[in-house]
Amino acid sequence: MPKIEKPDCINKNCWLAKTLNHSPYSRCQYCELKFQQCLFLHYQIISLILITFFLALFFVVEGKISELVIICIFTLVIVYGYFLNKSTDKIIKANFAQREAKLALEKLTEKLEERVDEQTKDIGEKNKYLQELLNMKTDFLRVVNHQLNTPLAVMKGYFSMMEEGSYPPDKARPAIKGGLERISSTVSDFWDAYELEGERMKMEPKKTDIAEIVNALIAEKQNLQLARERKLKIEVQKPEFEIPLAWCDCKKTAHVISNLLDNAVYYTRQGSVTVFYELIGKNYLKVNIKDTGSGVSDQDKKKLFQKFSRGKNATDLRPDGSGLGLFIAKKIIEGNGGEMVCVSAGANKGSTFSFTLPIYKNQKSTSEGEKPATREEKIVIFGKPSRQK
Amino acid sequence: MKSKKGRILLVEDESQLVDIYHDFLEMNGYDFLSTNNIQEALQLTEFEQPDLVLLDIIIPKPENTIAEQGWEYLAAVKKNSQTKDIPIVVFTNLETHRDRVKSEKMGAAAYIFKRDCTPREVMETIAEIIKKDRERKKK
Repeated sequence: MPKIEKPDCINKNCWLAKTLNHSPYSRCQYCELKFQQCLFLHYQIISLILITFFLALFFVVEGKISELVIICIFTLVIVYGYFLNKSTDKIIKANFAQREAKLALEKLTEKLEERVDEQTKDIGEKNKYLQELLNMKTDFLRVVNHQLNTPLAVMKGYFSMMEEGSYPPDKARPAIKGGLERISSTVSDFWDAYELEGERMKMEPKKTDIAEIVNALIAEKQNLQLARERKLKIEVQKPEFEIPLAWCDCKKTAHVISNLLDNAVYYTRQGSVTVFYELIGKNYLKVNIKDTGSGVSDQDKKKLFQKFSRGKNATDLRPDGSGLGLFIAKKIIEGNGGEMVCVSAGANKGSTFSFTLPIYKNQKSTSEGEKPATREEKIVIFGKPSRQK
Repeated sequence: MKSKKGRILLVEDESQLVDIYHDFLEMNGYDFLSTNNIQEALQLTEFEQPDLVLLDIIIPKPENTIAEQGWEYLAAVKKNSQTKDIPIVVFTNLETHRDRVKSEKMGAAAYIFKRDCTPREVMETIAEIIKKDRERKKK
């Protein structure tokens, strides 16, 4: 039971409770009745009136008031008063306890309701999240299925022809090998996307000569069969400034540039692919890969970097894309502290894919001294440090 | 009679892969045993005492549920005093760092990522491990 002094316990209905705070009125603060309804007060007033009345009656009838009568009357009044006082006390306290319990129960119910609401919301959110994951999984499996089945179908075709003897093995072999490579790269892409999505993939930044990577890759892409067939001009524009070293994960950045160049080659029927550099302030190097190809429509721009998204033109020009290349590329660039954007005037108007990377300024590798990732090692003999590291 | 080069047990459920390695290793002078059943693999390991075990990790249970039974096999082999010194090479298509660490912790001799390795590379690794193991036993 709360202390009487507590302001919210004071009976605001009763004049006595508000004004007096001593026995027996201290208990009045537990009571909720109004001043006029107070039984103990009625008792006191009525007893007083009756005593006065009876004493007057005695005095009128008998001519005097015997001391015995006075003693009797007062004893009775006091004894009754005592018990009435006690029972009033108990009733008031019991009522108060009941009220308190009711209030507590109400509060509890309210709290419970709040919690149930909260948890329902929580469950709703989790459910939504799980549903998203489930959709993602379904998407993923569908794409995996398609991406793996396509090269398999090609390989099977060549293989069966080869088996029949209707196709020379020498001709079928490169196609089968190409299919195998495509399956391998698709599986790697899926794994990369999975790792990058949960930011499980660790970047290992170091001093990187982007220009060197670009030059090597351009030479490689010039040799692509498609580039030669289409007579594409693939070149680097030499900037007026000296290209600074970048601070990024060298291998993964090379993967990004290679991917962007591949895209440029795939989506450009004729014309050129040009790489040019810019400096953004003092801290960032911007690499641009510009092509005169199919461009990106406004509609496709919105979902360009999303997983499994394939532009309208994309499916015609490169039916075997996984829809993961740009997603992976953007994630890698962001993981290295840069940004990636695509600028295109619209469909068939060419496009420029650009990304920024921090310029090397004596940044220190955080992973120095750590065991390097062994993921790329295909054979690891344990307890043999020379191969493991 | 046991081949000089060594006796290899391949624990693998993919029968085509078993065929490839069967042909290739026998052609190159190895004794070759294989099974797709973990219980049988444990018995073979104990009674045939292979010089090396190539262990696939994902091996479906007999009722055809996908399971990573390879780990169970590895743990059981390392627990048995008759077999604990036989080098076990984890030979799998799982490629996470965690799987490598787990293999090493459980006492595997090496980890081979199946997809990217040619039979020749696998055989060279096998030869190297067997050689190392024999030198160790001589001492």
